[in-house]
Amino acid sequence: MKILFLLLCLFFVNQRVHSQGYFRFSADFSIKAKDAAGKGTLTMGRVYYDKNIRKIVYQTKFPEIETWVTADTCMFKFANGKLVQKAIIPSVVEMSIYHLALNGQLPDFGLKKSFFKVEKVEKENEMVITTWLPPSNFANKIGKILVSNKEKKLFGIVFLDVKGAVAAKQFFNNYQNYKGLFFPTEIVNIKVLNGKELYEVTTYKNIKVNDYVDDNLYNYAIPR
Amino acid sequence: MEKFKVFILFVLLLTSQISLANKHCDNGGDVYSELFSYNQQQVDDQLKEISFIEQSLQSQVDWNGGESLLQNSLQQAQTKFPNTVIELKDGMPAAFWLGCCLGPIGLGIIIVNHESGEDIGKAVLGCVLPSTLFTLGVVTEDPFLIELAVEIFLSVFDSFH
Repeated sequence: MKILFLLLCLFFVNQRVHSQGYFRFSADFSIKAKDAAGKGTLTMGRVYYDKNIRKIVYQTKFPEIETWVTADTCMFKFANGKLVQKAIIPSVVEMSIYHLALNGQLPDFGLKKSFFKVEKVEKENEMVITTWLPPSNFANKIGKILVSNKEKKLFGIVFLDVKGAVAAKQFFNNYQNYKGLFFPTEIVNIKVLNGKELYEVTTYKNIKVNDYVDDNLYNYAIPR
Repeated sequence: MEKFKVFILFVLLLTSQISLANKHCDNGGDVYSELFSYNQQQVDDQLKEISFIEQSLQSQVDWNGGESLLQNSLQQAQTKFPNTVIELKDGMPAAFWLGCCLGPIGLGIIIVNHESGEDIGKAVLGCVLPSTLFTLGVVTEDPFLIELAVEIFLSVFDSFH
């Protein structure tokens, strides 16, 4: 009986360790979008993220050769190795898709560890839909969030405004397996503005997980 | 033997809790199918010029000639889409700024977590959230962010007066 108990403990511990085994992510990215005025945006480059260092490093190749670093509450822009811009922003790193994926939190978009509460969980065909409510003191500012999963992978997110109308949507497509980490290689952002849908598509290629090449780029030097 | 029975009972209870947690309410309809869908053709149509330029750039091996690459790709796009004016806006898209694909409401989640955790007063919240959104809206030239910032500020302002 002791052996059986020990085997069960080892099984659950192994599951926990496996889910925490991913710590680095890098990929070629491409972001395509059009704004309401019809102007196009294309950004291409490579992104690096290490969940222990907690810096998101974008090395863009187009339209300019630059490096953008998000760390804690700051965002830095470097060109030719020199700092050209700095901005103070909320700490977004832990809500990034990279951090959520590496920590196995992508299926709930990180909402499980937030102050949002589950209102209901429903199933429709192959989708499991969870409706999240904002804290009461934000109820008149931010609407509900609906998160859908297919085969235990994040499929779509619908953001509602306070009146219940759709404000934005996100879809996570074409999951690929990288050393056991499933990551969406296409993300479609849909913004609803004055009844019109505006699209932004992000694609990832050449994804590497737990890679030690370009080690210094995961911890890009930023001013203190 | 008694201990073994207790252990089996514990395992059964544990697995039953897991199965109950996974038993979701099935609405038996297609209420959400349309909500969680989008028109791929519309996406392709809206971004076709940008996709064409993207493919042209990806076929290039040398990335050092940024400006010349852009001009060549724009010329090719103008030839392919003669009736469309193609302008590439300089600067980073909102998804880039927010560490990928959070969007303005995703940013709202971050603000909510931050403010709720520190229990900051309403007056401060009324300034922090909309000012952050407004700044990002101006930097990314996103009218939605700007509009959201103004709405939140006005609602908080009204609650004080």
